[in-house]
Amino acid sequence: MKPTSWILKFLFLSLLTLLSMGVINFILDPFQQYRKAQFYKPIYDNERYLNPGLAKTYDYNEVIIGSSMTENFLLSDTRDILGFTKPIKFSMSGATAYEIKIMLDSAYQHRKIDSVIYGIDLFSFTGESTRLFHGEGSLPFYLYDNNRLNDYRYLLSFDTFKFFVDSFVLSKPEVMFDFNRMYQWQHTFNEDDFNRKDRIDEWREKYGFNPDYTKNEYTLKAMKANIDTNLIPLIQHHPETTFYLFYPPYSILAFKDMQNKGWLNTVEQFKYYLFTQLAHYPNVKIYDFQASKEVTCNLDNYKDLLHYHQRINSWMLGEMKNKSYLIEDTTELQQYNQSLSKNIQEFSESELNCVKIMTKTLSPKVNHVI
Amino acid sequence: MLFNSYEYIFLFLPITFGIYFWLNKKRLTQASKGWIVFASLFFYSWWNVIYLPLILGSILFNFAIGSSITHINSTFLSKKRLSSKSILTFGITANVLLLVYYKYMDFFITNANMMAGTHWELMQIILPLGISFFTFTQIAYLVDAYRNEVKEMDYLNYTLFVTFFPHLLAGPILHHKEMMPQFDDVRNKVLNPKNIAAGMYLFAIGLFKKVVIADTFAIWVSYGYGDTASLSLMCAWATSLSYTFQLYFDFSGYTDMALAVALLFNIKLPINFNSPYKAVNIQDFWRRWHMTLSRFLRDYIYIPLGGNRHGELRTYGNLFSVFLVGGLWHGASWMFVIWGALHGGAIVLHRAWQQSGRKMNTILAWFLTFNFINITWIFFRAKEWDDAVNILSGMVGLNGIEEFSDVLEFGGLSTIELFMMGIVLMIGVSSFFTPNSNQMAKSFRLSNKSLLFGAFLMCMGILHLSKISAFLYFNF
Repeated sequence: MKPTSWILKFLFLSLLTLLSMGVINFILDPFQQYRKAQFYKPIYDNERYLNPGLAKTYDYNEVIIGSSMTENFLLSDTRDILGFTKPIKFSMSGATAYEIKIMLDSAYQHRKIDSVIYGIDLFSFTGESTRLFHGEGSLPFYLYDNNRLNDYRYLLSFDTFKFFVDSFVLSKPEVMFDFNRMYQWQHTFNEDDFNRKDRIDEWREKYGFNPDYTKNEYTLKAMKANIDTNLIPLIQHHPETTFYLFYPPYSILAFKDMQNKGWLNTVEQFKYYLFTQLAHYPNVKIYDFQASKEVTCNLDNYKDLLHYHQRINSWMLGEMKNKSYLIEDTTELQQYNQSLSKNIQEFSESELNCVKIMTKTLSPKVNHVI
Repeated sequence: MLFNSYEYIFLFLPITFGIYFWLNKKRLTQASKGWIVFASLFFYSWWNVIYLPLILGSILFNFAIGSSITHINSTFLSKKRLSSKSILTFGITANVLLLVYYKYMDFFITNANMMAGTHWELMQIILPLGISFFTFTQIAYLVDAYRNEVKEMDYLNYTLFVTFFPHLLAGPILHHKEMMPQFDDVRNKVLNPKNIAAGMYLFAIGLFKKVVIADTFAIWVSYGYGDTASLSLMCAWATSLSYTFQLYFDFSGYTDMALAVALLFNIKLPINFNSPYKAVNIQDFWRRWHMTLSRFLRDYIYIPLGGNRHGELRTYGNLFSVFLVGGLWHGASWMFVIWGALHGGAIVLHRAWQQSGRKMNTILAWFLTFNFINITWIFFRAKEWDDAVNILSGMVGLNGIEEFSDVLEFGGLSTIELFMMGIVLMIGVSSFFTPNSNQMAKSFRLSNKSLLFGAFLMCMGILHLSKISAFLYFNF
C-alpha cells in the first residue's frame, strides 16, 4: 500500500467509525437529551448527567433540588401532602449551591416552574462560590446549555454507550427505574443500619464524617458569597416560583461536632444572613428543621451522623404544610438557634433519656411511610 | 493543552501541521520556524497565560548565558575577563534557584516550620507547567555549550529547541544536537507520507495506552489509595499493581504521542521507554524507564560528581546521591525522597552483587526486580507514609484476606467496567512479553492489518476523551 493511500484510508475509516458511534449514541440517548426515553425503561442514575436531559424533555411544574438530603423525597408525597401537580427531582449527591444554581437556570430555560423545594444543606454553601463537588471538570456543562454543537462530548463518547449497556442491558434494582423514587438511596441500606448504637460508636470513633471546620472553605465569608451568587439571584429573577427552603435535620451529634469545633456560631450567623437577605421576598418560605428535637435527638433516624431515614423526608413535607418550623421573623430565628443549642446541651447531659423519649413519640407516626 | 484532548487532536495539531508545511512549501523557512514557536507558546499558555513570561524569561536568560559561554570559548585565552566556567556556574545556579522557588519553596517552608517550630505562611505557588522539564533541558544545553558540543547563536532556533510543543510539557528531555540539525535539514521540510503514516499509527497506540489502558487502571488506583486502611490482601495487590501499570501506560503513552507528533514534522525524538517492566535488574530498569532523565542524571550529575573514578565507596555514594536528586525532581515531598533512596539503595546493592561476580536465574531476577519496582511505586504514589505502610501491610495479609467476590466489588465498578478492567489487566500482563510501542512503530508496515489496528486504537482513544465521571462516594 502507498503511504498516502494508507493515510487517507486511516482517516476515512476513523471518521466513519466515530460518526457511527455518534449516531448510535444519538439514538440510544441514555441521558434523554433529545427525547423522552421511548423504546426502553429509563433508569434514574447519574444525576449530574441525567438532570439536564430531564429538564429539557420532561414535563414538570415543581422541582425538588438539593443534596443527598433531598434524594429520598417521594414525588407522590409532594402531590399528596403539598398538592404538587407535576413534580420532578433534580437532586445531586453532594450538590454545591453552584451546581444547584446551574441546574435550576438550565431548567428555567425550558419550563415554567411553580414551586421549588430546595434543601439548604450547610455544606453546599461552603467553599468557593463556583465549587463543583467532585472537582474541576466533573460537571458536564455541555449538557446544561442550549448549544448542540458541543454535544460531541456526549455523542462521541464510549462511556455514553457503556452507560446505556450497563443500565439497560444488565440488571439493576427495580427501584432505580421508578420515577416516583428517582435518585433515592434509602433502599441501599437496611432498616437496622439506622440505629442509635452505631451512631454513638461513630461519634466516639469519628469515622466517616469529620470535617475540619477551621479551613477557609467554612468561613462565614465564603458561605455568604454562596448565598449572594448562587441563591439570591434565583429567587430575585423568578417571582413566579414559590421557594420552599429548608435546613435539613442532621443528627444532634453532627451539631455537637460543629459546636465543639466552633462552627455552630458561623452556622447561626449564616442562617441570620440568609433570612435577612431573603425574608422580604414574598415567594420564599424558610423552614429550620434543625431545631426539631424529636428528629435530631432520635439517633434511630440516622444511618450516619448526617443522613436521616426516608420517613423524615415525608415528615418534613407534612411540617411544611403545617407551617411548623417556618421562620417568620428574626425573633423566631433566634429561638430556633437557641433550641438547637439547648438540644445539644441536653443531649450531652443525658443522652439516654433524650433518645428514650423520642423513640416513643415519633416511631408510631412514621412507620406508615415505609 | 493536553495531547489527549479534542482541541489538540482536531484543531491545534492539524492547523499547526498544515501551516508549517505550507510555509515551507513557499520556502519561508524562518517563518515556518517562527510559526512553530508561536504555536508552541500558544500550546503552553492554553490553560494559564501567567507563566508565559516566566518561560520566555528563562529562555532569554539561558540563551544569553549559552551565547556568552560559546563566545568566551572561542576567544583567545588572554582576552578573557570572566571564565566560561564561572558563567556556567552562574547559569546553572540561576536555573536551579528558579526551580527551587517554584517547585520546592512551600516544601522547605513546611519542613522549616516543623523543625524550628516557626509559623511562616506557605506561599501557595502554583507550579508552572513543564518547569522541571524545560529547566533540565536548558541546564543540559549550558553544559553542552561549555563543553563546546553545541553552538547556537540564533535566538529563534534556540527558542524552537526549548519550546517545540511535542516535548515541552513532559519530555523527552532533549539535547540540542538531537533535534536542531533535523530542523535545518532541507529534506525534512517537505511532507513525508511515510513518516506521517507511521506517526499516526504511533499516536493511535499512545492515545490508546493513555486514555483507555492507564485511565481504566486509574479507577482502582484512586479507589485503593483513597482509603488505604481498609485494603485486604487481594485489593491491596490490585491497588499497587494497577498503579504500576497506570504509571507506565500513562507516561509511556504520552511519550509515544510526543514522538509520533514530532515524526509528523519529520523530527525523530529519542525514545524514552523500552519495556521497563521486562528489566531483569534495577540498573536494567533505569536503562529502560524514562531513559532521557536517566541519561541527564548520569551525564550532568553522576559523572560531574566523579562517577566511578574515585573508588568503590565513592561510586556508591555518587549513585545514591543521584537517585536522591532524581527522587526529589519528581516532586516536592519526602515520599519522593524515600522512593529515590530505595532505588539508590537497590542500585548500590545491585552493583555490589555484580562486583561479587555472582549470577542469578533470569526469571528469578526479573521477578525480584518487578516486585521491587511495584513496591517502590507505592511510596511514589502515596501522599503519606501511613498510606504506603497500609498498602504494604495489606499486601502481606496483615489486614486480612477477602473472598474473591469482594475483589469484584472493589472500586464499585459496574459490570461493563469490570469487563474493561479485565481487558486492560490482560494487556498489562501481556506487556511483560509483547513488543512495546517503539518496536511496533519500527516494524510498522503499510498494510491492511496496521490500518485496521491503528484506526481501531485511534477511535477507541478518541471515544474515551470524554468520560462520564462515575463517582464512588454518593453519601453527601
